[in-house]
Amino acid sequence: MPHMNSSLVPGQPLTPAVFHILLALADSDKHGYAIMKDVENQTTGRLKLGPGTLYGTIKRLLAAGLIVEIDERPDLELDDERRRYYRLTAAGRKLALEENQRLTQAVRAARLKRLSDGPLT
Amino acid sequence: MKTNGWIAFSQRLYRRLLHLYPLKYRATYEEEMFHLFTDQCREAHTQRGWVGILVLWLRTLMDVGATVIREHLSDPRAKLGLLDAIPNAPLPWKGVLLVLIPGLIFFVSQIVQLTFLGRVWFFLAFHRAGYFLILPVLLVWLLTRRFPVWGLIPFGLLYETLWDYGRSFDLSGLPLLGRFFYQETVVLFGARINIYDLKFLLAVFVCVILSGMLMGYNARRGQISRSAWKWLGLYGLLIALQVGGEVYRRVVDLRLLAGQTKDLPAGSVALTDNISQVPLWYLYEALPFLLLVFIGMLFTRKYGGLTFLILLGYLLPTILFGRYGFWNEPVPFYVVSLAVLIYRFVVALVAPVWLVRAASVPGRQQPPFRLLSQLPAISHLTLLLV
Repeated sequence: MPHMNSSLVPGQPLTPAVFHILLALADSDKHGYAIMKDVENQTTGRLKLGPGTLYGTIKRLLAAGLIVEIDERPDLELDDERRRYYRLTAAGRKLALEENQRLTQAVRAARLKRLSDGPLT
Repeated sequence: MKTNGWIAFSQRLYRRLLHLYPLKYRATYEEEMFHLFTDQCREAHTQRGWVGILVLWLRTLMDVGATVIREHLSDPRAKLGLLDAIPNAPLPWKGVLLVLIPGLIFFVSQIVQLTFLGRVWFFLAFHRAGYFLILPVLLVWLLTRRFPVWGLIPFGLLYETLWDYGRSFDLSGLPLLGRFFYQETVVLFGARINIYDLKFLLAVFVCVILSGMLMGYNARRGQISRSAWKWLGLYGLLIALQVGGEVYRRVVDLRLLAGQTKDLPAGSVALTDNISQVPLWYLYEALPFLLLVFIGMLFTRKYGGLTFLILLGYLLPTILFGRYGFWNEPVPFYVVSLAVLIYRFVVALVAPVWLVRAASVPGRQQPPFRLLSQLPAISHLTLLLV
């Protein structure tokens, strides 16, 4: 059983940083800067991860067995050999799916209460 | 500054800031973080020039501030060294520093107190320290769900400050209860109680709740030994005897007084009021002490009997001397103060370092520690009996 810490408790909502990093790795292996840019695109610039937050979260995801560091290089010509690449594990994918279901359910509940129809203000 | 100068300067500064992270974390992620920051700098400069770099720095400083604290708290060395017992391993020196800071403040305030010139400074420093040094402890407790061993000193300090000044808190400024505290007396369980005593009642109430929660939690986990239960039983019995004895003495005194003056009959409202205050007074002193001893007991299982010395170091001199007002007696003042000063030096600066740097084995106490762990019980029981 991988070690779980306080921000990765099973059954509890994930923090935005954890969820978006898992999402960033869902379609391909990425290095830190690529993850950061992907998260920025996913959230249309609302979530900008700093190096401390990004690598602190990566450290916890690695410890929990939700992502792994890989030796393979996706594109040798474009690659900087100093960069480390990360890949989503089956456990990470499962956790991201569960969080997605939780959020979908929340959005459905909000729609039923007509919270999604009106203006924001 | 040239265009590239902004990036180069930012790189140098960020490289220095990275030293704030724990060593192990840096060994793994320092280069990665540095490259990521460099990429961010280039992008920010390309898009918005030096304004972009400044905006990036605002975000980065907040990021560094928040994550440095988090990484230090979650660092395995910090967790083992500062927040949990490690068998046969001394506390790292950074942990010793945390232990020493409140001890140092406490000890310096003691010296200033003795000079007679600095009593105002002493009360400012000592009692403010009593209230504020507990804040980092509570923060660590909240974040890690473990009470850190170095928190015992601020905890003892807070206890003494509250004990000294809890009685004089002005509660009339409280938003909802303020009006209540303007009254002189209230009726509680059929007895009229002075507002002055009601403050004691609040302190007692808080201690009863906290003690109950702690005992219940640890009893369920089987962490209270049989000898601890025996000690608690004996302590409760002695408090009950003491309260009973005091009530009896007051009844006898008032009857005698009534017999002499013939205007204060026994069983009057004055007698009821007088007697109702007795348990309150004793509970005010006994329950917080019990809570403190109990928390110390839990730590002693991990760290040995000297843990009690840290806690009680702030209490014993007050218990033994503070209540007799030796300010007004110049000759014994110096003698007592010197003894107290030496004692507090040991307690505030020597004992904590000795305790946390010495190897310890959880659950096993060396013979001298075993004796020391009985120190609070022995001292308080002696006082009760006297």
